[in-house]
Amino acid sequence: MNRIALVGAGRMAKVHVLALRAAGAHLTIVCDIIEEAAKKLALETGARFTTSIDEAVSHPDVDAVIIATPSDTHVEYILKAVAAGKAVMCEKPIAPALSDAQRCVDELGDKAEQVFLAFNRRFDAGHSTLKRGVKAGEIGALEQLTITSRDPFPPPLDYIPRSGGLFRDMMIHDFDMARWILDEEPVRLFAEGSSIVDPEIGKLGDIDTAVVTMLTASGKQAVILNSRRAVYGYDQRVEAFGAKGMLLSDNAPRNGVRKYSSALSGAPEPFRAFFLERYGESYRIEIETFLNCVAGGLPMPVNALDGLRAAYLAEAATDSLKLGSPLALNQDCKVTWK
Amino acid sequence: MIRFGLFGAGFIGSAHARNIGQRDDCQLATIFDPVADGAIRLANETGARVAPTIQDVLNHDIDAIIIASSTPSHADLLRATTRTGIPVLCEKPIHLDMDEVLGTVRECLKTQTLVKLGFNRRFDPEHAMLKDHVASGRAGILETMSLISRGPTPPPISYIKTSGGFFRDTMIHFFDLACWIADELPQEIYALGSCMVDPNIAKAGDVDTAIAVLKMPSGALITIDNSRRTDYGYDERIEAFCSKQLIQSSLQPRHHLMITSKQGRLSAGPHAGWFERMEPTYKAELEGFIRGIKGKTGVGASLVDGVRAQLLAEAAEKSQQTGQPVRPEWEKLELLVS
Repeated sequence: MNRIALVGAGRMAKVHVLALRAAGAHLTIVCDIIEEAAKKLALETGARFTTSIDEAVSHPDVDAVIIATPSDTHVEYILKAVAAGKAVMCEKPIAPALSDAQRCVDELGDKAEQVFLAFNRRFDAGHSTLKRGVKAGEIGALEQLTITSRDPFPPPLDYIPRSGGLFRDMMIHDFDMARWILDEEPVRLFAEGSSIVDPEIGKLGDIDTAVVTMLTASGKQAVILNSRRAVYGYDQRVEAFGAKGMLLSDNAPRNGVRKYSSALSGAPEPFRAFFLERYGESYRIEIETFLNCVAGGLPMPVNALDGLRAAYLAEAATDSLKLGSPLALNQDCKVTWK
Repeated sequence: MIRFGLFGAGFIGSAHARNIGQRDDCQLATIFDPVADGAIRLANETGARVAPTIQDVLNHDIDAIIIASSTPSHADLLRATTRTGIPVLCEKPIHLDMDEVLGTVRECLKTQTLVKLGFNRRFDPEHAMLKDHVASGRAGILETMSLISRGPTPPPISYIKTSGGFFRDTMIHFFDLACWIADELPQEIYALGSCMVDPNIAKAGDVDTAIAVLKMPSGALITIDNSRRTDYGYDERIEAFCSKQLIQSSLQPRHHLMITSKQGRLSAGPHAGWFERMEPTYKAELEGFIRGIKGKTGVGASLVDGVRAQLLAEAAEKSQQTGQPVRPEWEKLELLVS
């Protein structure tokens, strides 16, 4: 049950290859529209290669398809793989445009919940321990949730216009984490943002600093803080505050070295470089989880519906910022316009 | 020798009295409290005399006054004391009604008497170091800041009913800190409030769990997170995320012993209550006040700072009640002069 077709031979595909190897999965075939890329990865892994998505998803020696291609191909590939009867794991987002993501979920129908959406941070050891603790009632009823996400540097300026903006490109992960930990959909969202890191980002119509607050029907409050640039490193923290305590999933240091001297005292390397280093393990656990669910016929813990709802929250934040106003949301995380 | 007159022999008044007693350069001369027993007890402890009336304190040969009486008495006492020209340290708030605040401060400002307002958290060593560090420019430009204050337990409902509400009673300290550290005033505030701790708090028309977001003209975004209750002691911290550095006035363990076992590496939780955490600030605040009396550089909050913080509290409450962001009424500051 662990014979894989990997669609995409780029950076994320290589991350998945390592995870598949660690999980003892069998990579049957690699597909990329750029033949050279597909061939190269296939040679490294002993898999076959193809430039045809149809060949990859319909291959008889494939149980599951992993999609790690540019996001404008996700919808087509998801639908093809599902139609071919394969288990599917797809990188986020479902699609750059919300309408396409909605269309995909509509077409999938009840199969939408069977498509694994690669929100890998859910599988980070710290974040998943926090979530388990919250769910088990270790801190009592959840009251406040704070997610801090700061990148070490912004993306290149030429990427910004096609990124979809900070909320869709960066905060999407945090919207998913918030929904996951709150275990309740928000009913109100207010987004505030500034371009204070690099005015060039502002000139492109985007922001680089954001604070989003959300409120659920039961009164739970969530705050998400994002910055495109933390000079000191990649800063990822989740703080869950409840009636009976607090759980903090803090940054994992690159190493445990501490230094004491007259010049300085402290930890010289408290952060890991960026998402691949910081969340490296999570990609492995994510794939392992996906494969276990496929093998056991278990429900996917994070699926296309989660992908869609996170996308709706990102959309709501984008609109909220533009309007300068909080927005009311329905149970599907869609803005209810009055 | 600076001779002090004290209004209020309650909890805070007693703390001030103790701090005066510990110094060589000042002495508690006279105390007034409408509850005679309280004044007598404190007088016996300190060697001060009991004043039979408010006017008696003002007539006495004193060099400085501390107002630590019940909230409703502050405004009248401020008027009466500033008329004498004797320097005054007054506990917050000035008054719960904004018009009263403005009228009182206007009158007091005309006398040009030295008045300091009891925003004691400015004297917390770590908060003050954070402020100085940000002000020095070494951290770069302030981009986002989070101020957290939680717990430990809510005051009695009888207190809550006359407190002026969570924003005027508790969050007001953090409005002051935020503006002091950021060195600018927000153009807009948005507040979320929930009743998560005790339904009786909601019945009293208040909230017990709140988040406020302050949008600063520079583009900086500041969040304040308050809760009336924690399970783990009193949690107060500030984090200033700047363009070059992250500065944290961290959660302080009440002692530094650590015990490592199969249960993990355990350390002491924070202080049991806000007073245990903040007790040193009252000493430092007194020191600052005395330096001000001696003509040295003024530290500590002014009456106008008090007005600013309260205008923010008013705006926060309105935002929480309407669910909309609110522009604070800074134009009312003009009513203080002219």
